[in-house]
Amino acid sequence: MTIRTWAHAIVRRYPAAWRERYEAEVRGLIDDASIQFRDLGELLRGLFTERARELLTSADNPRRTATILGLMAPVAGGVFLLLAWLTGYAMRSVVGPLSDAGQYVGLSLAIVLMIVFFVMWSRGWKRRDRTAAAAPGSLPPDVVVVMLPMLFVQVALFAVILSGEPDSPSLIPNWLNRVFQLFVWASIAGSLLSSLFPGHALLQAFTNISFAERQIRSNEQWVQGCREMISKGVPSPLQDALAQVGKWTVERDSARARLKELGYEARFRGVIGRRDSGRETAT
Amino acid sequence: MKRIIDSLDDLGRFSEPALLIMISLADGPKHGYAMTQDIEQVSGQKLGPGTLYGAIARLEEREWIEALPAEDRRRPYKLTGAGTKVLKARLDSLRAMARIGSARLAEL
Repeated sequence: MTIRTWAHAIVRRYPAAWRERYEAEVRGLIDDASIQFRDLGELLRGLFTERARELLTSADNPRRTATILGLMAPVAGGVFLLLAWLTGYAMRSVVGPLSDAGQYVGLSLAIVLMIVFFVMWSRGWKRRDRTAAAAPGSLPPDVVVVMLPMLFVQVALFAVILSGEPDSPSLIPNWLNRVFQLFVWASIAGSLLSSLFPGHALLQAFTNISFAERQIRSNEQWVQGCREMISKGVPSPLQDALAQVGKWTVERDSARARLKELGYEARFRGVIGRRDSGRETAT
Repeated sequence: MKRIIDSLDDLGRFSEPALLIMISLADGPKHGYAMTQDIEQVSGQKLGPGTLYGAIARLEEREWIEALPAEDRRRPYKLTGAGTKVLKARLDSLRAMARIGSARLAEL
């Protein structure tokens, strides 16, 4: 398959509404322009973004949707690892137990891949998007699309080498060792997938908005209580209460600004705006 | 009701590609391929299809650019009146920043 074929395959996965409007043009551009490997990363990132936008636009409860999106990276990381491990396990079943030389070659290849992987990570880290709009720690998409298959091969190779081997005696129990490896690999895969889609950042922004709104509501009740006390001639800390409302309003606005930076503000604006106007009417 | 957004900063990671697209459309309508060629020539940056159409979709949503009738698979876009105002405002602010920066460098 050529890069162009891959690019067309990715475009086919974009949401139907987007394809109806832009597919012919993008396909034309893919055919006319020289498509490079890095463009696949860009298209993949666009695919995640447009899918998320579609999901969020049609969702009745954007906070719940954002939570789902926030969990997408770790879940996708786990599925990715499972697939890689199963591939290795299946290969092992076909090939049978490896000879000492086979194990040596497989292990060496896995270690070399691991070294190249971390060199790429380090280079990608230096080139990462440092603007506020980028999710923290996200790598450039063109680096991620190369690193993900490498990670897949590494995990599959380890599965080929390790599956079916008797557990060797060691200070650390083998099950703990496996759980640790799984955790490290899942974190790496989840982090790479997060670079293609800022689900974690979205989740964080929505959690902050939700928390700040709860604080504002509770402090508004405090303000009301203070005013009632003052009207009865009882001294009360009204200024402190007002300061708390102000503080959490700033927190909420800053979380909204973060959403805006991520490019989702326009989609959520209707819901957040309605909620605000409802509160203004109530007060 | 559609809110009027008057700053390119609202486009997040698409703000720079959007600026390049608007600059490219400033001298007349262009389709996607012509835009990528023009942008590469002007800025040295090659916009991939994902970024280009991500930015085009957002610019269209805000009615800063509009699509013209398609010619085969190519659809030209042109700047709207609102888009021209936004572009002018952004270029003015960049010009002011460049002037201040150059003046400070000259003081060194």
